Amino acid sequence: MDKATFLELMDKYIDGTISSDDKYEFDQMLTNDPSLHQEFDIHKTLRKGIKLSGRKDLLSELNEIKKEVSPVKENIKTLFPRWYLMVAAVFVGVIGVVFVLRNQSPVSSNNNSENNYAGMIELKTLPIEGKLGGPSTESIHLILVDNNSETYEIKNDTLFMFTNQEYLDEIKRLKPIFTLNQQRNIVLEIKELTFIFKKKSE
Amino acid sequence: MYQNDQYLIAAIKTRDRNAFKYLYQNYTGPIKHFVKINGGQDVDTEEIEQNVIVLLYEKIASGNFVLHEGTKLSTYMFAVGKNMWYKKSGRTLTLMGEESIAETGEDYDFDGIFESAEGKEQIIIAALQNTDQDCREILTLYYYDNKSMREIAEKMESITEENLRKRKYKCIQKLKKVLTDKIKYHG
Repeated sequence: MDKATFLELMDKYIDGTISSDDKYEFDQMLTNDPSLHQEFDIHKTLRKGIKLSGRKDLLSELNEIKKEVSPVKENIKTLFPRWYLMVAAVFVGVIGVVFVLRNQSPVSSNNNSENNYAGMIELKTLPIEGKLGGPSTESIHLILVDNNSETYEIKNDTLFMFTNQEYLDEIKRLKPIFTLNQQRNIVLEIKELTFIFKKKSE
Repeated sequence: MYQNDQYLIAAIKTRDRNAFKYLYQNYTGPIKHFVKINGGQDVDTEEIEQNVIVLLYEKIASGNFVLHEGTKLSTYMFAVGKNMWYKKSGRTLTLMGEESIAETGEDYDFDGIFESAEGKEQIIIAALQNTDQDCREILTLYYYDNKSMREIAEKMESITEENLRKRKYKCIQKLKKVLTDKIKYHG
């Protein structure tokens, strides 16, 4: 076997693309010639170094590209002044309490309705110093769901949409949560807040 | 500009500058915003933004990138950025329903994105910077960009696949010599 072929075998072995016949042959070679172990180790190090070098080059390229970019959308602006967030938070807090009370009321028998959400609503408002994002947080999109993977996906999606100010998409994406009807599924209400922000941003 | 995410992904795979520009213009804003509102400084937002794009490129280049049906690339990138920031900042946010990375059970493989090169790797990086352009290109295209020998031969035009194979071997040998010499010299 020539050395270039041995090099290819090492690559295939590391990449996991080696055939079973070649793997057998490769293992035999390593067993019969212990010095090849060192060769193999050096090759792994070389590969890692080349990859890091490639990553470094890409980062330099990206830095250059970024300089050329004049953002189409300004990177998410501060949506509203902080005082407004405080007012909004209090307002939503009140709405949340209303919803909680409504959920506890016998009138709310239809657990699948949007107004009942998932049967239990826990409302938390921001900004809360030092809890999430520190003192200057302006994050108000919070949605607490259980470990259900579906709701977790929704949470990610809607957070993205919210930060991207895609409010209508966000509300649409939230729909499945409103109809999940799980006993202990806790949904942190954001719908009202989203509407408030949407209205104010129009 | 791109009909859908698949077109954009295909363009990223070719390292199309316009595709990267498009990501900066349309996809990374929410990531930066998220980092910022969760305690990140400007330098952090920049770092996470760049690393998300690097990681995305590497995953696409490796051929292992799969965007699940119904998932948008923007959402995927946002989730990666979010978890990357959690990992970097060591946050485990539980109070507001934000699970820690471990609790979500999701496997975000950042592939040593925050690691900096050390010792032997630094030697190799420096050696690559000083080696001839062809060697650097061949090795980077093969090992970083995951191009096949055929693709590299096509890109470099005036070389056959067989000659490229030999060339790659020689380039590796050169690097290996630099590395082993340095190791010997420095013990």
